Amino acid sequence: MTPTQPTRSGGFWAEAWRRYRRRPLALAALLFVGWLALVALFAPAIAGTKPVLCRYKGHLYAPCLAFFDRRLEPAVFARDRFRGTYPQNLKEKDPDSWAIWPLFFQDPYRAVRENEWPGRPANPARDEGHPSASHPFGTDQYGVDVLAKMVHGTTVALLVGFVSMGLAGTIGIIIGALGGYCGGWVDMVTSRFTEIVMCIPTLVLILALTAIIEKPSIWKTMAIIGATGWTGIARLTRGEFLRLRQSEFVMAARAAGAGPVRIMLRHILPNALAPILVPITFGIASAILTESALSFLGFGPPPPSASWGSLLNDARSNYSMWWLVVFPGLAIFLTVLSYNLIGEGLQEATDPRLREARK
Amino acid sequence: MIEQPAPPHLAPPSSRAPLLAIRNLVTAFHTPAGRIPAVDGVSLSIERGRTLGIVGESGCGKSVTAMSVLRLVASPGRIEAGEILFSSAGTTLDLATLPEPAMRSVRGGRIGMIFQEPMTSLNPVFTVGDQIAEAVLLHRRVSREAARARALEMLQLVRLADPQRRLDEYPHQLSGGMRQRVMIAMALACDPELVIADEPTTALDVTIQAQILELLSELRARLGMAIVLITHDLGVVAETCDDVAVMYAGRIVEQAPAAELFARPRHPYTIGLLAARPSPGMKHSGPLCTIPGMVPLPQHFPAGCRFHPRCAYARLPGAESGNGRAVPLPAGELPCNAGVPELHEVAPGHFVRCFHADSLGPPRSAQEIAAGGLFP
Amino acid sequence: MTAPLVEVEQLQTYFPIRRGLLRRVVGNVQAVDGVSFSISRGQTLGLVGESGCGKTTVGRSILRLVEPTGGRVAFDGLAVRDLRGRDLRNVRRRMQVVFQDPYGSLNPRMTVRALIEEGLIIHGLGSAAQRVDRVVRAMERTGLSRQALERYPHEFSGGQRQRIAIARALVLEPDFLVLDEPISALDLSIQAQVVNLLIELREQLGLTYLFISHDLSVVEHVSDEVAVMYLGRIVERATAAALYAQPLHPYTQALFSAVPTVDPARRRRRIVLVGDVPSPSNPPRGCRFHPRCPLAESVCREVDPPSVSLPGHAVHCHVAARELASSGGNASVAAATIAALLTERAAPAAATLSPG
Repeated sequence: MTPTQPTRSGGFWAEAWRRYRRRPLALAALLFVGWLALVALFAPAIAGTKPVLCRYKGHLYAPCLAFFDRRLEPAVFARDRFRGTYPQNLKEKDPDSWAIWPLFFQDPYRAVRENEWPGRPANPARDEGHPSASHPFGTDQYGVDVLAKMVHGTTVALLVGFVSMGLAGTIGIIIGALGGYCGGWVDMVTSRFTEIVMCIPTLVLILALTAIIEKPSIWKTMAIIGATGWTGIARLTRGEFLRLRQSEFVMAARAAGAGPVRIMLRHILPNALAPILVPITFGIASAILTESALSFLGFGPPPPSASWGSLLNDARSNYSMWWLVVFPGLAIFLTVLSYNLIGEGLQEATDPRLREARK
Repeated sequence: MIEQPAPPHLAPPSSRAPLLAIRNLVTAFHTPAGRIPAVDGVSLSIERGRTLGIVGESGCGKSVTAMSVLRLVASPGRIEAGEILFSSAGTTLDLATLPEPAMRSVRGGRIGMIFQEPMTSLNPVFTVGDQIAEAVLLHRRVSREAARARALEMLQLVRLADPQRRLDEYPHQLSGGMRQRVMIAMALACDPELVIADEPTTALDVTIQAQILELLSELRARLGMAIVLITHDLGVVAETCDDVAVMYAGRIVEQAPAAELFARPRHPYTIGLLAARPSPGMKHSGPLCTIPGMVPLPQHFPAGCRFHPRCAYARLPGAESGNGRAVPLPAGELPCNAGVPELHEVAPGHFVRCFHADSLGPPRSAQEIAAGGLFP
Repeated sequence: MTAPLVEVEQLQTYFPIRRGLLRRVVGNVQAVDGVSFSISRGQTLGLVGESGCGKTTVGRSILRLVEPTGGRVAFDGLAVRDLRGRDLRNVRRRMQVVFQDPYGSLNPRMTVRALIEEGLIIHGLGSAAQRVDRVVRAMERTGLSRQALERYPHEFSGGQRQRIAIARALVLEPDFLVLDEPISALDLSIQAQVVNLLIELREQLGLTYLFISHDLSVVEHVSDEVAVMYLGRIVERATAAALYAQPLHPYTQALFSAVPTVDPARRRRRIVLVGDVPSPSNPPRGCRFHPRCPLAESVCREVDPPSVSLPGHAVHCHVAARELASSGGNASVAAATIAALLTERAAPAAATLSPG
């Protein structure tokens, strides 16, 4: 006996993708975020003052990785006293050296000095740093190029989104699943705990935690955002688990002898995942906004880290430099908008009411 | 109970136009997957004071037909062709093309509807009395008190216990049977001439169903309205309807007065449906007669006669029939997969959509088929 | 005399009703209240009744999908209620279930193969290759083709999904199958197919069935014995032939008469019951059927009806007990008398309703 549909269905997610594809805005948002991810991944290759790849004294190095982590800078360059200036030093200290340079020779953490790149003047600072041919987004009050800052800030923005929501999602799903499936006093304890955390205003909690911890860094900020943003996910997960716990297919699994862990992981969670992904997606947008807000208020990671919010912070004391507001603001707006559109598209693609008609 | 004559104060059907005449109705759904013809050329007529049963399985289009009459088909469905002629109060209206404001006065005012799920068809946040009164107020210019009085009258008519108290109760406080009575009260509140009941008892227990069917019979005798009863239960149709239409895959395949249809079914699908029910004493005579295969999806309706892939009597050139018996195609006869058979009359008032209805063999009753199988 | 495979004695399943902040128990929904029966190996017991009578709960209580609150359930001699952990899991292999809803009982995210082999994985039966073999064999038995393995439930029709559910139940090679309204959600033309399949499987594999349904004709066709339930209790039990030929309990007679039939010759005079089924949280005293029974007498309102047994036929009714006594144990005479009394007293369409 053959199934009623001649063409194979690839399963729930394949169908959801097919439905998602039909919405042009959602697709555009996904492409935008994808492009941002590429920018974030290749940030040092797009804007930086260290070569992407260079051959020095017979060996290949990739000094640009230092932008991800300072410890990744090859030691040889420190020994040879490059002091962070590559173009002239490379040619001087090894005439046979060659280097592949980033697309845009600017540093997100400092102003480029005079003649650092042969024949180029130093970065203009303050009001002379308006957008120009050599600085498409202008420079900030210290002369640091804004485009470079934004490119590297993309890494921060996306990381913040994924890491904090990853943490929040994990915590939320575990707490919600336990409460929803076990019921009874377990549910009571987890629900009350969730409600207590929910009552505390998130920003205030984050500020308090940031003030307490020593050596604030971007990772600690992400952890804090994640540790406070799980409540909505927990509530939704609890609701889904409560509902699905009573499905007949769960009862069928019990009749076959499945234990609670197997039922939760193998039977309920895959069915609950789709509705939970939606607030997680919205949460990514919210996390980016939160981080921007923190940086804007001055509570973000300390300089010289580059994030879009810190650019807005700089803008606070430099009203005349409109480019410090417009470009980062636009970037934040578009990114948050994209995640929201993705979340909406996901919601419609996975909504069971729109799924296959019965019989 | 079984067959009720039309109340004497109405003129006999033959001298007037039918109350409702559906002609070649086509209702299709335009989905991303394509055009789905849920109702594909259905023609029916309902006489005043008589009950027509439309019977079929899921997906045959019976509910969509009912919804089309009242133009309640949800988008992406649309009435694409055909006429729905409703003759009452001296005028004849084509419901398929009537402007929406006029249509609203027909809904509930001249044609009442009873839905299948009383749990979800009643608004949970309004009292029962309010909902019936609303039905009255929408179509009659009366005061709120008069509407409420009428609601009470209707609850008494449908024999709801303690009607005064029920007026102010909410749907969740009533049982399924009681809710269905409320639905009937709402449908009848404005004295419609036609009531369409879409599977009114499917969701109810069998003893409650018996009560509701009794109630419908009694109301029909008292008020003289016509009823279109849509169901998949052949027994219900046999016991309550005057005329029957059997639908399959968007088309009517057989139509006859009820007694005639169940005594002498002529379409292979009807024969198969009747034979598939177990009857007492049959247990030891082997497996039930089945109709092989499944109801086709609208996207994949077979060419020609839509039932032919499952038909035990199908005549295909050089092929075997559905039950494995090779039935050669007589010369000059149309194969079942080419060309759509038309409804033609095989007995007075008895129409069948089958090329070979006349040559299936002598008409046999459902009991004979059940006892001896489809093939004598 | 071999011991019955399934034995149920005074089974009781109450669901607590909780109110208030501290979730105090204020009452019980007495879904199953003292049900006893036994099923011999290879036999089929049909359980009929309307919604709320507890028949589904009986099935689930036997399988411990719902925990019974009293009574004894024995499967092949084992006391099912006392089993824990691995012992319970082992017994679960031998008792399986097919549910009513072909849409809800299959996990929409799992392929057909994953659904059917789930039981094998849980019990650690066989390697991956062996599991596929067993799955394919189960599918072939139920008329599904191998191509269905990697498909998802939503690609199939209701009847096919029910076949998947049956294959899932069979893959563990159980002895006992609880069929909870297995065909009610299917189209008429498919119901006969699935009924034939179930009967064929029973013959081939020597299965024992508990067939729960509200469809009287199908139950009679499939079952050896039939029990009628009302409000948590069995009111009558008999062999299928005896029950349909000589129903003794007034409720059974009303039930049969209420079923609309196509054949005018088989139609019974309709006995219309008044009112609705009372709530199982507050069952009436004495005979639970007395508020709706046209033949109720004062003793029915006070005293629980005794069980009267004849060979192959048992009934719990004061009136039936009396009629049987006066007819000298002749069931058909008693049944006919009761039928006559009912049609006399339960005149349809003139009855006013008592509050539901």
